[in-house]
Parts: sequence; C-alpha cells; structure tokens
Amino acid sequence: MIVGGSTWHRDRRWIVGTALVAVLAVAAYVVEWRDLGRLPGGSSRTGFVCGVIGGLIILFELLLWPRRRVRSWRVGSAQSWLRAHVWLGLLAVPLVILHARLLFIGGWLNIALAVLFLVVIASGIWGLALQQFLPRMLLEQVPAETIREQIDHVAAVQCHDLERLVRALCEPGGVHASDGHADEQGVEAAFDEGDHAVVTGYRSLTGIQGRVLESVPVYDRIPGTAALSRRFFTDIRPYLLQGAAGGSRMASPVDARRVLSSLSEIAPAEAGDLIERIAAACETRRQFDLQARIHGWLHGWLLVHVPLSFALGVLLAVHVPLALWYW
Amino acid sequence: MAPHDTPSRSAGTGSRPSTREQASRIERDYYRRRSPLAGVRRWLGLAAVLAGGGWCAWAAVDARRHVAPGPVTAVHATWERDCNACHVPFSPIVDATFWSNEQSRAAGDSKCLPCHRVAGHHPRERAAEVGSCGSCHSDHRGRAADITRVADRTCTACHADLASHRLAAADTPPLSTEAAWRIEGFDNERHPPFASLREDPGTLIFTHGRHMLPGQYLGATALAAASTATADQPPRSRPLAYADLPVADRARYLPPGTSLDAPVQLSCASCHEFGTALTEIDVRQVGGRVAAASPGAYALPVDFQRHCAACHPLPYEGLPMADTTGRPADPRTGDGVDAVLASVGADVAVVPHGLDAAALRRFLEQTYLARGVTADPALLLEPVVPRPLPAAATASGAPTRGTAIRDKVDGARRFVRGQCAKCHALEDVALGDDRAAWFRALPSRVPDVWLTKARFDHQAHRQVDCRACHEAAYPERAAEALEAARAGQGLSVESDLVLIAGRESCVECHAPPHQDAETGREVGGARHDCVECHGYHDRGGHASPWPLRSVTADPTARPRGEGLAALRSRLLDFLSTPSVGPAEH
Repeated sequence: MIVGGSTWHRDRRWIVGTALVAVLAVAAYVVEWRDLGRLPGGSSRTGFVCGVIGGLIILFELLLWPRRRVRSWRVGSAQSWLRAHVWLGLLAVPLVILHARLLFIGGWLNIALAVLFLVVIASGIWGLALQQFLPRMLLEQVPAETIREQIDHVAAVQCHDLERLVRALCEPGGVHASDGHADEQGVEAAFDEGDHAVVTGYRSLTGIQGRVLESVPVYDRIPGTAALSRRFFTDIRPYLLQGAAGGSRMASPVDARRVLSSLSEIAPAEAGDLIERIAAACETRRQFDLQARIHGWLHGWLLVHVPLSFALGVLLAVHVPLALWYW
Repeated sequence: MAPHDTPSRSAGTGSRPSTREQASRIERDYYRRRSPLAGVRRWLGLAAVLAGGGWCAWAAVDARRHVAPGPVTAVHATWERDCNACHVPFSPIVDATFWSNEQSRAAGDSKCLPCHRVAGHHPRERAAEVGSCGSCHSDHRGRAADITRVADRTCTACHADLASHRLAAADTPPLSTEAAWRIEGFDNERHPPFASLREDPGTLIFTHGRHMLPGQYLGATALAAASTATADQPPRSRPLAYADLPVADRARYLPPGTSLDAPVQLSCASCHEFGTALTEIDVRQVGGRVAAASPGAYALPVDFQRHCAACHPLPYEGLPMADTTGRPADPRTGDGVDAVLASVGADVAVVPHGLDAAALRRFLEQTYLARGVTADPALLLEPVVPRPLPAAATASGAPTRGTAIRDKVDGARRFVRGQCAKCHALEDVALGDDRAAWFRALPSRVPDVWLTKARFDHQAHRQVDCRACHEAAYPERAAEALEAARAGQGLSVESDLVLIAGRESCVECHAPPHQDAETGREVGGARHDCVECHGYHDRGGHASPWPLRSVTADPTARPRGEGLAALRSRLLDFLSTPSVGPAEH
C-alpha cells in the first residue's frame, strides 16, 4: 500500500484520527500517572481502556487474514481493509505500550506478548516501508516483469525459442544441451528438421486463448557460427535457464556485454541479429533475477509478520482472561 | 541475408516484450499451484500457532513465572505459588480501576488483614478515600522490594489539602498551622517546620553550653557573655578536674590517656547514651517508643544518678567554710570555692534524688533524728514524759531537742530547695499543719522522643557529627542561638530553647542531589520520601484510639495445589464466589 500520492486524502483522515487518539491516550495516561504517583499499569483506568482498544485492534488486524482468504466477503474493499490494517496497527503501538506500563512489565507471558507485538509491528512497518518504493522500482527496472512463480517457466520458454534459432542458424559447435535441459517442464519442444523452426506457446488473441504455432523461416545455416553455437550451449543457455542462481558470469551485465562483443567479433555479420536476440534474452533473464530479488524483499517480511501475528493472537487469547482473573 | 534480418518479433527483440507476448508464455493454470513463499508462510504460521499454544500450556503449569509480573517480596515468598492467597478472582486488588468498589476493596483486604492487624490512620479520615491494602503496598516488585515504602502520592493525595480530605463537624478543631500546610514533598517550601520542635515542653533548667565547656568553668566574663549566669551564681575559683570526681565515676568520664588533673570535658555521649546502657538504666523510665525502636535509634533518657550525680551530689546541708569569704572549702586545696565544686567528690551526706515533699521531709527528719540519737545515745535512756499541756509548753519557752531537729530540717529544706531549684521548676506543697514552705519539683517532661510525628534513627546518622543537628548546644553557639531565640520567642534561659535543628538541617541531605549554592559542594541524595520518616498505620504520630482494621479469614478458602490442581481450585473458587464476580461490577 502506497501512503500518500493519489490516496493522500484518505490517508490524511487516518493520520489525523490516529494521532488524535494517540495524543488523547497519552494525555490521559500522564494525568493518571501524576495522580497515582507511579506508572499506571494495565489495570489502571487508562491502562485498561488502552488495553481493551489495543486488543480489539489486534483482533481486527488478525481479521485481515480471513478477509483475504475468503474473497466472497464483501465488507469493504481490500484497499480499505489494508489502509485500516496499517493505521490501526500503528495506533495500537502507543495504546499497547501505555497498557503495558511503558513496557516496564514482568511475567514471561506478558513479556512474550509485548515482544511478539513489537516484532509484528516492526515487521509490518518494514513491509510498509518497502512497499513505498519497491513496486516503483519493479516497474521501472523490470519491464519484462512476469508472475513471480512463472519466472522459471517463462525463462525456459524463452530459452527454448532461442535454442531452436541457434540450432537452425548456427553450425553445430560440437556441444549439445545436456539431457537435463533438453526437456524443460511445461514446454512442448519440437524441432522440425525442415526449413522452419516451430515455436509453441499460449497466446491470447482478441479474447481467444490457445496454443498457436508460429513459423520462423530458416534458410541456410550461417557459416562460421560454430563458436557462437558452442558459447550458447556452454554459457548462455545455462544462464537463461537457471539465472543468477547458476553462478553464470552472464549474470553480470558487464561480463555479458564482453562475451557478446567477442561473439560479434568472431561471428559473421549475418549472425548479428541472432546475437542481438541472445543479448535481449540475457537482459530479460537479468530482469527476472532482479524481479525475484525484489519480490523476495517485497514479500519476505510476511514470513515474520504473519506467523508471529498468529502466535500473538494465541497469547492474547490467554492473556485477557488471566489478566482479569488476577486483576 | 534478408531472411536472417527478419526473424519473427515473437521472440522479443526489444527490452520490453508486449503484454501479449508475456501472457503467452505463462501457464494457464499457474494459480492452481501454491507458490513456495505461500507454502513456507503457511507452515510457519502453523508452527507459530503451535508454539504460542505450547507457551500458554507452559504458562499454565508454571504460572508463577509466566503470569505473575514479578517475584513477591521476601516476606510473602511463602505464598509465591498460591496466587489466591492474596488475589480474589476477577476482583481488582487495587483501587484505581473501573471495577474497584467497596466490595472489591473488602475482598482484597480480607486477604491481608488476617495477618496484618493495622490501625487506622486518623479518626477524621474519610473512609472512601482510604485505599485498599494493595493500592499502596503493591507487590510483585522483586524479593528485595520494600512494599511499605509507598509512593509520596499516597500521602500527599490528602496532605496537600488536608482540609478537603477530612471529616468536618461542628466541633472539629481547626487544622494546626503545620497540618494546613500544602504538603507535597520534603523541602523548605513543600513541608512545614516540625511541629514537635515548636517549643520545649520540658521544665528542666539546664545549660548545655556551660556543660560543654572544659572544666564546666565559665569565669565571670564568659558567664556574662553567654548570658547564662544568674546574679546569685558567682564564678568558681577553678575548673572542675577529673580528680574532683568520685573515684567510681572517673572511669566513665576520663578519656583514655587524659590526666586526672585535666579539666572535665563532657561530650554529648557523656549524658546521651544509645542502647548499650539500657541495662544500667531503669527501663521503667524508658518510653515505649524508645524501647520498641531498634538499638541506638533514640538516646536513652538522662538519668540523674548516672549522668548528674557525679558532679551534683545533692548535699542537704552546707559544707565547712574555707575562710571568711563564706564560701566552702575546696576539698583538695582548702581554698574557697562554690558549693557545687566543693561538694563534688567530697564525702558529704546527700539527699536521694526524686523525692516528693512528704518523702523529703520524712527523710530529713529521720536523718537528723538518727544523727541526734547517734550523737547522744543517752537520749534513748530518758523516760517518756507525759505530753505537756500546750500552755505549759509555751510557758517554758526553752528549746527542746525536737525544736533543734526541726530547725535542722528547716535549714536542710532550704538548702535542698536551693539545690533542686538549680535544675527544676519547683512548686510549693502544703504538708498538713507544717507551715514550712515545702516543695516538689515539677516533672521535667523532657521528651524521650522529640520528633513525635516521625521517626528518627541516630544510629543511621552515626557518621554525622552531632554538631550538624545540635549546634546550638555547643558553647560557642549557645549564646548566639539564645539571643536569636530571645528576639523571636521571648525565651528567658537557654533551657527553653529547642536544641534540635529542624527541617532546614534535614533537607541539606534528604533532598535530590544538588549543588549547594554557598559552598558549591554536591549535597543531598539521601532519601526524602514521606515514609522515610513518617508511618501511616502505627507511626503517624497520632494516638491510636482507632479500631484495628480486621477482617476474618475467608472460611470458604480451599487448600491450594499446583498446576492443574491449582487451576481446578481456582475455577471452583470463581464459580462459588458470586459476590465478587464481574457481573456485580
């Protein structure tokens, strides 16, 4: 969720409301602190109210999970839920801290609860901060963005497209794709020994989706491209399939440029267009790598935020009756 | 090479393939497969829920460490594992909650009062403003926590405006100046001067300044300067030396390595003894508060026989004259000195201290009668003659032995009166038909404890020089202090002066650390909260005609167990205790 920008008028309402409630809570706490002569705890008047409101907020925050799971719920838009989730979560911080006697608390259960809450909040703030710029970075630096889970598949399809071209246009370099790479999952590879390459894929055209065939006319193999073919199968193809995880030097733009430049020098001019396509494929693969990295940052915090939120809910469910029991 | 130049753009030659091209490469059913990230998140969520549940189960078994906000204080450690020994389920143990009321307060206090029978604070306190035990004495602050050291706010809540916090009736006396003070802390602005030091209730005539001089010797000039001399008190001829003291008392007064001929130099400890001398002093003279205090907290009462008699033996008749000056002879040199100096260490007959008028007359009559019989044993052989008629007795006019004894007794009475009047205010007493001006000494009324509304521990202040708080008792400041006091209070003698420094002296140390404006030294730092000196239940300085707060123990209390047994017990308690249930709140 982006804070500000076109939704600033909505955020402003939340900011003002959140700040107002927080200031009121702090003021009430200070007054009671002065009256009592000691830090009011969770059972004090202000502490109790803060605790109840904070607990209800935490409960609401947890409801975001079923709200997302059950999309048939029509209680407000997802955007509204997320905005409320963020701002109420931030409001809960001062309330819970006041409820917890400014965190001067004892009892392992209480301490665990406070620590969990703070970690959950911190991870949420971290995630919110990342969302302020990572999506824009993704938009700007990854034009070839695809669905994160489809990166390997799309890369494999792209690699096979290119592999067919190389096989069709280049002289055999004496190196063949390893068996492990010959049959990529989800790609129906077919290579016609005739005068054209067949590329398969799913297309959507005017609302009609389906597998289509596309022919690329092939004339003759370009002489003097054995080295290009060899380099493709030894260095480029593994990179296109595995990305930076394979440790290929093609992951580095500088190294890739150097390799492709050397290929341009030794390959005949007719292979220039092919080399350009190889370069474009490598660039796309690099973008996929970058997308995977950004995606990891953009969603990795949820690995902390969500599970610990569940644990927080469990401890909260025990804390409330216990605290009332031993008031 | 045209064919090679025109490959299909379907492979994407630009840096950004079209959306259609991107979409064509995506599997149509990709969304049916869970992403690895979501899978990890799900498993982590499950693990977190299980971990949270496990922690809660652990907390149920070991509630002491998980539920209690901290260890209870050492005196409550026995009940560390039995929460219900102090807590009533769903009933606030403190007052400052939304659910606190009379019932919850009574329920909470019922757990404390069976062991702690404490008195109320003041007869005019408002019951609604008296907090529950737990409101002031909050526990679970660690073994070493002193739960009696309550926050100042618990006191100043009322004492900052006492008039608004006491029950007022038509016959309610107005607040004293001190009580009406807006007490919000301890310093010269927020705490009144000590009321119990306002004046000296004692009747004793005593000059600390003179007794602190070497040899007890002032000399005429010094006497005049100190304004402590009286017109009939001539200066002595020489200082009092240790050799003048009775042999039995020398060891107590003579500092190690000091010559017997050196002037007697008294110190504070010569008369004000702390604790160790209790067995040598009549404990019946020790007030209950001193006896109950820790050893050394308060000075033991000054005892005449122990602290005064060595120098003031109380002779009941004059000593032999040294010469024609009419002054008694110095027992060592034969020179004329004052009567006190002459009697010190001399083998003189003394009158016991503390006799009332009748006892004094009886003592003197018996003494002189015995002395007469001893001097003339033939008296015992004379026959008993009939009692003469009054007219015959008057007619004879001859002095009898009885008349002689009465004359002796009368002389001794006057002499003793002079002795007593040195230190005591006297009151005439009529003894039957005796026309002589018999007298009795008024009670000295020297307080055993001066700070009656607070507590003080001399032992805790043993590192502090006595002069720091009792400077006016020293000779160099006595005259100055007296003059100042006379100007302000119309005092006549030094003994009317309270020689205890008050609030201004205390706040030099009992204040937050600060830099002294005059000396520039870092001072303060000693505790200065209310309970450092004041008590609430039993040391508030009020007499205690108030009933003890007490509540009978809960008859429905069940034996406690551990773990699940304890949980079951608590549940049964809760279900069977409707009076403190949340519904009533």
